[in-house]
Formats: sequence, structure tokens, C-alpha cells
Amino acid sequence: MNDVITVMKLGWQYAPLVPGAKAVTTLRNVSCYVQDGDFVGIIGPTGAGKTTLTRLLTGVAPHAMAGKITGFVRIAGMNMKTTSISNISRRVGYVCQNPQSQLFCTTVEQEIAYALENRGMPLEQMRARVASIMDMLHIDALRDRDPRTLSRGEAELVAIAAVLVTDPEVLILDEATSALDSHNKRLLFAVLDAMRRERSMSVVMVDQDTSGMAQWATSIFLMVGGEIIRRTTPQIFTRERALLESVGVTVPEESSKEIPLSVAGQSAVQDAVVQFDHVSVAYPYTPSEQAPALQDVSLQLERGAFIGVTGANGSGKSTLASLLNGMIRPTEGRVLVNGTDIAKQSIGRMAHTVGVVEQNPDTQLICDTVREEIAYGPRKLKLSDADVRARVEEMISLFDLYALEDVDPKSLSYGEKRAVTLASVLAMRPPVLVLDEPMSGLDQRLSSRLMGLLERINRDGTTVIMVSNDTRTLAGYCTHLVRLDNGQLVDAGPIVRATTDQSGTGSPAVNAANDNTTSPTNEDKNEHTPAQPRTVRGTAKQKHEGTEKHGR
Amino acid sequence: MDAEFYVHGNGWLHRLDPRVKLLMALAAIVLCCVWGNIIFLAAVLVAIHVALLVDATPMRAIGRVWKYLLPFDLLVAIIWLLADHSGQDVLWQGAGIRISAQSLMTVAVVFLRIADVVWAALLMLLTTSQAKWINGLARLGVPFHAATKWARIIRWVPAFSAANVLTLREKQARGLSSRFGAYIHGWHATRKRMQWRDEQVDIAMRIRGSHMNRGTTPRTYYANVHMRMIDWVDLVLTIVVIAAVIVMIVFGW
Repeated sequence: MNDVITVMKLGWQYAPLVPGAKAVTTLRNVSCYVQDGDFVGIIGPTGAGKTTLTRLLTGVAPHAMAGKITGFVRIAGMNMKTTSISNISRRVGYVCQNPQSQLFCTTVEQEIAYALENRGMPLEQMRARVASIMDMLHIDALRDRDPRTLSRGEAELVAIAAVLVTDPEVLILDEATSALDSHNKRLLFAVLDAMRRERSMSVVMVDQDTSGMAQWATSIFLMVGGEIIRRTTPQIFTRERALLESVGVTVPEESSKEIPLSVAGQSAVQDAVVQFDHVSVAYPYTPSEQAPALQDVSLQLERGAFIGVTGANGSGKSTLASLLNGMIRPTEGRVLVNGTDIAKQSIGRMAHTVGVVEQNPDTQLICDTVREEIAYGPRKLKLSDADVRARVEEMISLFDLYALEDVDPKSLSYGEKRAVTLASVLAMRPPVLVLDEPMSGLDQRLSSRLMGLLERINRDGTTVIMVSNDTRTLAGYCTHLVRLDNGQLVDAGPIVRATTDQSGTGSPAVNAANDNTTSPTNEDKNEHTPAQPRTVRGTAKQKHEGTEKHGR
Repeated sequence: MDAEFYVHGNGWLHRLDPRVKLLMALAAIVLCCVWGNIIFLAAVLVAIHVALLVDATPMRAIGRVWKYLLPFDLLVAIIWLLADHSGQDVLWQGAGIRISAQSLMTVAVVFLRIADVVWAALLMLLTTSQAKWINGLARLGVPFHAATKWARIIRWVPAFSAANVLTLREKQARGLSSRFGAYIHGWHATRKRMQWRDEQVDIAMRIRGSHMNRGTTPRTYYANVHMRMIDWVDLVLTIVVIAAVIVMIVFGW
């Protein structure tokens, strides 16, 4: 087979974005080859240079980014240095880290057709191709949606469809599946596999979640510190676990099965920190046929609990999270935090009680350097300079941001941006902490540190609300679960832990008796009426007794 | 952050060929600027609102425009009234202010003219998607990249406004309590955010082939713009109305 990608002695240094900032070298002397039809997984810790490599493969760097390049890249028969990004796109499809930033058309359908228009494809052929790819990825229902109203998971699917529709020889996915739920991830890998078999398409995938690569990839490149230190097969996940763990790569579990999460029956909340009272949210100008983002959600969350919020892509998880600090106001109903209606409070006032780390770090970054970004919140809370400094140092140490302190956060990789936004909200130490997919883009090392910190602050009394589809983490750390589906509340209550995990992975197993539905006791059945809000009850103390009992 | 004037919909104005709509909007703007007949100006304002309501453009969008337009328009009218000392039929005079029947009429004309020009432009902006703008302009012979640039320029004001609101909210979510201070200090972050977004969109367009060398193959368009019977009827009616107004202007009605 022929090499479809040839990279020789490639190096890259980003030019500083703001005067006085440092130039950052992200790639050093990288050489690699990808054969026609290969599926290559690129793995490595946050900041290893994975994104830079994908940018260089597609010509985005240096053609659309300032910096210094050395070495040589040939992709699908084209010399990257002398071929424009648009002409490279003729054979190479690229989905970059932030899907929402790649969508610019008025409807999803037009978004997917855009690349075909640029190829001069006849209208009827375009319609057939667009319909076919939407059908393959099960996104027909999104056809007329405004891309700005999509959830991150939905946006990822649309961004992938917009590239797959061109039938590329090489497909490059840079953290493009980080927000997909397990169903959509499985679907995507199946689609990619079918396309590879039918058309000999090569795939280069960068992802922190390595479970898909372990199953589907033919080669693995391990990157650390801007270099490829291993070019090997997926067997690295079994043979060199220790190496991967030491550099911060998530090693997929031997059993790739999801952990089913079950919720216990309802009970009264003693001290509710958050109350949703028949809350509905419809975004402005939403077509009448489109269901609201949240529909009639009634829920109480107990102070001091560690609550996981889960559900399929587009189920309303992020909307629920954004309600808590008033970034979104309910269309109907009330959200009470500490007994105060958020509709009657400014966002600035709410920030004293609730800190929210959003899913998309790009919208949250507001300062010129990483250090300023982390210090912004504590300073606005009027802490003393010494306290601000101490909190900034603590966060820089926690997320290992020493080398990036003076760098413009907008120029960082997705994982690094995630780390900065997490640090900037954690530094404020709010009594209620809301995290939307906090581990997305973070390597194993940073994820573990983050979860350790969350566990500690939860033990100290902070209520933690974490939106995630990672059932292993939810089972491992959360005391309670809220499950949404299509904007409606399906389940809410304490997670039932019935058996102890035997695999030694550190994740307690969870009662699998009933995967998707609540299993109320007879007493609960008698007590529960539709008008009653679902409750999430528990205390940090209770939870830690539970976790110790189950050996985590 | 990526806001635009366009409001999703499928009414008759949304479906109307953008070239016909552009002619209607441009004709209304030019005629309103040229002819100061108060009845004509009022009729245009009413006609535009009726057209938008029949199109089922949300009242919320119409109300939002008036929310910003009305104070501006009233401010201009009041300043005009205070500055205009012309007219024979004096209604009130004092403290350096002179209000006559003629000056009141002039102010009414100014008020209606501003409203008409804004609403005529919005007739196009509220009901024409980016894809239809680009396709419509391309069908008029405007090169694709120029049409794309234009479509992005007309989004700039709502996009900047949305980015500024987002920046303000993000700062507030991190503890900023002063709204005024946030507006003042938010410009830098908003400008950076806009610049970043523009760069991302530019890259996204390129990685999907916006500047691809197609040789002699022309670019095609998914949002199919073509003249239907109803578009021809609307075009003829627009031309008839334009001709009638020109006749009235020439004959001094």
C-alpha cells in the first residue's frame, strides 16, 4: 500500500498572539507515515502537540496561523506547504476541536451542503448526498435547525457530516467526538468503518477517549512534549499500560461495556440548595414544531451532594447547567438557588453562590493571559491580593499550567483551554459548583487531579453538579444522578451501589437491575404523585461513607 | 455571538426571490428619501408591517426593532423640532423654541422617513438567509467571495452586539457586579472574541473548500433561487408601484 501521509522532521512554533507574550514551540522533529486505508489514533497528554500536528497536516498551519515551520508534509499526493487549505480540502476532510466554531450557515442542511457547493456539484446530486449522510449519522431531525441552537454533541455530528459528505480520501478528526454520547460514538465508528472498507478512506483521529481507537485503529502514534515517541499498534493499550498511564493517556478498560446507573426511590429533601419548579426553557425564535430545550422540570437538589447529570446528546443537560447561574432564564417556572429566584438576581450576584464551567471554553475566556484569566474571578470577589495570588498558584500547580502562565488562553489547545476555564472557576470556590463535561479534552492525569479536587471540595461542603456521559466517572464519584431525555426529567435520586467493582479499576459497580428507569419501592410508589418534584438528597458525609464502603 | 438579523421562517417574504425583494427594499429606500409626502411615507410604513405580519415574522422580532428604533427616531425628531424655526403658522413660541404647523409636518416627515428607510432595509435583512443573500447576489453577477463578504458584513452589527452581551455575561458569571463597568471594559474582550470568531469562520470555510480551484466548473448553490410565477407577479407589481410613485412625484402630488 502507498503512503497517503508522509511527515518528515516537522517542527512548529506559534508566534505570540499578544505583544510581549512568549512564542510557543509545540512540535519538534516529528516524522511519521500513514498508509492508504489506515486508521491512525494519535494519543498523548494535554498539550502534547496533537492538535498542531493535525493543523499542519491540513495546511491550517501555516496558511491560516502565524508561526515558524520546519520540515516537510505530503498528504494525499499534495505538498502541504505549496497547496492552499481549500485545495487540500479537495481530498482531505478535517473536523477541528470546537465544532460550534465551524458552523456558519443558516441551517444544518446548508451547512452540510457547503463543501459540495464549493466543488460545483449539481443540485440534485447534492440533495442526494446530503440526505444520505444525514441518514447515515441519524441527524435527519436536525435538517432545518439553526446550527447555533444545537447542543455540542449535535454540533459535533453536523461538523463531521459536513466533512464526510465530500467523501474524503483522508479524514482527520481532532477531538471531534468528545461530546458525543456512547450511542453516537458507536454509530460514528461504524460509519467510519463502512466508509474505510468501501472507499479505502484513511482516518487520523485525535481523542482523549481511547476506547474507540483500541477497537478500531490500525496504528497508534503516542505524542509527548511535541514529539512522537511511539509508532505502534493498538496493542500498546494492553502491552504498555504503565507507559501510557505515566504520561497521562487514558487507557481503555478491558470491558468496554458501559456501567448502567440506577437510581433509588424518591424521598424528601431536608435542605435543598437548588429547586427547579416546573421549569421550561425555549430558546428565542425556536420553530413551534421544535421541542423546548427543557420541559416542565421539577427537581430538588440537596446541599452537599455530588450530582451527576446525564442524558443523550440534545437532552437539555447544558441548558439545565446554564440555568443555575442565570446565564439562561427559564421561559416558564422558577429556579431557586439558596431560596432565591435566579430571575430576580443579576448574574454577577449569582456568581457569589454558583460557579459554572461551560462546555465550550472559547466562550468563557475573557482575559489576555492565563494568569489574568484565573485571577479575574477571585479579584472580582474582592479577595486580598495575597489570597488571589495563592489561589492562582494553587490552580496553576493543579493543572500544570506553569509553561502557559503568560500565554493568551485563546491560542491554547482545547484541553489546555478546558484546564484554564476549570481553574478560573475553581479559584472562586463557589458553594455550588456546576461543571459541564469537565473532563472533555483533559488527559487522564489532569482528569484524576480534577476529580480528586472535586471530591475534596465536596467533602468540605461544596455542592458539585457535574454534567457528563462518562458513566464510569459518574458511578465512581457521584452520590446522586439526574437523567434527562429530550428535555424532560426521567430520573433523579441517589445512585444505588449494590456490588463492589471486582476489576480493581477504582470504579464501584452500580446496581444494574434497572438501567433506564427509577426503581421505586412500594412505599415510594404510594407516596409519589406527578405533582411532586423529583429529589436529589444526600450529604457529603453520607456519600463518603458510601464510597469508603465500596472501596474506592 | 453569531447573531444575525435573519429570523427563521417560511412565509411569503422568506420564499420570495431575494432579487425581487432587494428591488422592493431599494425602491422603498430611494423613493422615501426622494419624496417627502407624508401620506406616502405613512403608507410605506404600514405596508411593510402588513407584509411582515402576513409573512408571519415573529412579533417579538418586530417589537425588538422598534425598541431600539423608536427612542432614536424620537430623539432625532425632538432635536429637529427644537432646531427648526421655519413656518408661518406658529402654534407655540417661547424660551428660544418656535413650533409651527409646518415644522411639525417636517418633523413628522423626518420621523417617518427614518422609520421607512430602516424598515425597508429590515424587510430584506429579517427575511433573507445568508445562503439566499449569497445566491441572489451571485445570480445578479456578484462574485461568490464578494457576496460572502457582504453577507458577513451585514451580520457584523448583530454579531458584535451579541458578542458584547456574551462577554458581559461571562464577566458577570465570574463576579463582576457593575453592568456599566462591564460595558466599558468589555470592548477589548468583545473585539478579541469577534476577531477570533472571524478567523474560525474563515478557516472553517477554507477547510470546506471555499477558495478551491475548480477550473472551469462553476460553483453551485444548494439554496435554489429561481423566479417562480409569484416572483414575476411581485416584480411586475413592484415596477408598477415604482412607476406610479415617480409619476406622482413628477406631477407634484
